[in-house]
Amino acid sequence: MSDNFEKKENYAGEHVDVLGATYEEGKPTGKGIGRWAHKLEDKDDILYYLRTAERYWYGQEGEKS
Amino acid sequence: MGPEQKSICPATIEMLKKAGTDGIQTAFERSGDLRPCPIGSQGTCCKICAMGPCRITAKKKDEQEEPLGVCGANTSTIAARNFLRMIASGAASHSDHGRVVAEVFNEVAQGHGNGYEIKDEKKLYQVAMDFGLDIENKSAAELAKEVGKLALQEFGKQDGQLTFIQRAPEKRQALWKDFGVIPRGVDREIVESLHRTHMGVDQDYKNIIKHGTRTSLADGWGGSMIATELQDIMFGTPYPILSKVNLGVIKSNMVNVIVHGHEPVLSEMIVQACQDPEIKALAEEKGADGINVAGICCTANEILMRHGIPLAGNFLQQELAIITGAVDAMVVDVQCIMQSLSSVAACYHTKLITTSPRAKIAGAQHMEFIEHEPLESAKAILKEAIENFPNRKVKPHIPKDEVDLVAGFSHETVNYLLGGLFRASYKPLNDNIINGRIRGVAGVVGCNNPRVVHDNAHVTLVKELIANDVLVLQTGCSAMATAKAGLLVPEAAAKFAGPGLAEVCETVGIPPVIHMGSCVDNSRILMAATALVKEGGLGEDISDLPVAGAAPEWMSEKAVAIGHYFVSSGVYTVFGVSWPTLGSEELTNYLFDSIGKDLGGKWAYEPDPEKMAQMMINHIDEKRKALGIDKARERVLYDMDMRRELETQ
Ligand code: SF4
Ligand code: SF4
Repeated sequence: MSDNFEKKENYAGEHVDVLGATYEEGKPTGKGIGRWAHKLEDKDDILYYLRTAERYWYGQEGEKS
Repeated sequence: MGPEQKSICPATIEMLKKAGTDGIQTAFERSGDLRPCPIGSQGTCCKICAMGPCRITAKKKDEQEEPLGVCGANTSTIAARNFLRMIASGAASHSDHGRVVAEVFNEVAQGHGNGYEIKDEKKLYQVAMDFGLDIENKSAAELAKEVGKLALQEFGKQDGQLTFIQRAPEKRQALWKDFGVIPRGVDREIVESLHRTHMGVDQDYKNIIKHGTRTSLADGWGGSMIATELQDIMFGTPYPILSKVNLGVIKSNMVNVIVHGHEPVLSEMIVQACQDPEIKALAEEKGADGINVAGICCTANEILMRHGIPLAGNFLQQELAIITGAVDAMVVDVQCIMQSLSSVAACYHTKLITTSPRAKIAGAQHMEFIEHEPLESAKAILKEAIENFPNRKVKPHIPKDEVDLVAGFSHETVNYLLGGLFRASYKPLNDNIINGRIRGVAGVVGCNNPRVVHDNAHVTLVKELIANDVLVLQTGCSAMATAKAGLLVPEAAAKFAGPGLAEVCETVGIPPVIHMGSCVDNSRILMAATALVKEGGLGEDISDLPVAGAAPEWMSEKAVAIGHYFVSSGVYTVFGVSWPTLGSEELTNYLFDSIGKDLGGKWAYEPDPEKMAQMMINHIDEKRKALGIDKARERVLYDMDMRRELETQ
């Protein structure tokens, strides 16, 4: 689940990494449709997901109000 | 009263007519014959010692003295003691279920799963983090062993606090701490409830209810939450899944096995054993086209959520399923199982099979479900059902009604659906509450009760709420009632929801009524409410949220435990049918009003579902006002024609 960066040139002509599209490709099909958690392939993916998506409990930030 | 006046569910009405023709008595008739005791139903009958029972009523206008029990206990003490005992029994039921799950989980962790396994590593890491374990440097197998041990210890802990309490919003935790109601251990709070309500112990109604708060929190944020989380790790966290509901899911040409009760430890294995080639071959050999598993009550919700197994019906349909004449075995474990099943089954060919050593029924066949040999136990049970297929006495009469539904919404899946894998978040939900497209969120849960028209209050209430742009989260038999009415499919949004809610549902692709699981899965609703708080913009505590809860057709002590942990977590909660403390004005006023000052949430009672909806909407609107979002409207985007029109004005 690595983030997708594209190489671009900034106004000064320097190369920079710009975050590319982050939507999931394709349309869900087939039997396991909806089984989203299977997209997390290994422990690193899972822990990254928990710390970002489930940040309410497992992220570094405190509560907002 | 005819069948049409007893239920709004067509399959139920059809089967009640058949019951009449077959001469079978059901709970529907018995409830008409047996009027509730007026004193017991208002909570002022005390039978905890042999100086009584003392049945006392509230002081009448012309009476000088307050009526008292032999020991001097007044109506407030008696009603509060009875109320606490209901909470304790409900908490014990959910938590004993949780304990069994934890025991099985420990076997799996030790490598003796015998068919059970760790299916959801993500959930395992979540729970491991809750327990403060070092997840980076330990394998899933190592973590499972530690999680299993720690989860089981939650039941017998004597001090400190239950681990999942720390999942609640910080402000809520601080309130519980200041008020002195943080549960120490699950069993400890339940045992103390029974001690306090023994003759001559706690005799101050507020202090009794305070312990009810602690005990209920030990259920919602303890025993129930442990059950949900460990079940998710072993059986998988639910994801959206399509299935069907109502008695029409029973098939005349198949071996029909109805699983009924609560613990998925049994029903999961029945589902697995159905795939066994030996079992399939035996069914064919007996002339059946296969094995059809369907569920009643919360075990049905468990296997629906994870496998899409159809729901035969809710609590009041358990006898009716047998009356179809097509149920070859009804396999039961614990909770909500009517003793009458035994005599109804005897009139047909159905085998009623009890499986738990904690719940035997006279006249039923007992086949103990051995957790060390789960698959073998499940196969033995299925063989009994298959062998019974040729014994059908009458031609089955199965109602045609079966309705589509989408279930499987864990709070994690809702988070995912709202933002996708890379941006999973409750923010879109919060934003739509703030901008007013969604007015608020309601949890509608609980049972059926033959004292009111079957399913009517659930369906009327939920329809009214979604028409007013309130997103509804459901569990238990309530979810089955609204599923039968066609509210649990995405298309229901356009048909029944208000314009704002319908727009959001269509965008996200969800139904306006979200099925979150079984009764123990009310813990998922607590987590969803916490996510709303932690996402920000809707206050600092669950009590600030524009949310409300209801159990319009409740009957079980578990419902009271659930209701009280919602109140204790800051939620305004309305019950229908009857209210068990009406014999004490003082206690009832406390529960309906001033408890709000202690806990942020409070109780209400209203049997009319339309009025109930209005009360919940009023509460939601009050909360919106307090948050300053009552005026929020969707931003109008002007197009060129509108601009020109403005310029010419
Ligand atoms: S505890 Fe008091 S009120 Fe209850 S039965 Fe005994 S004497 Fe009666
Ligand atoms: S909702 Fe009520 S009747 Fe249904 S399974 Fe749960 S406790 Fe039993």
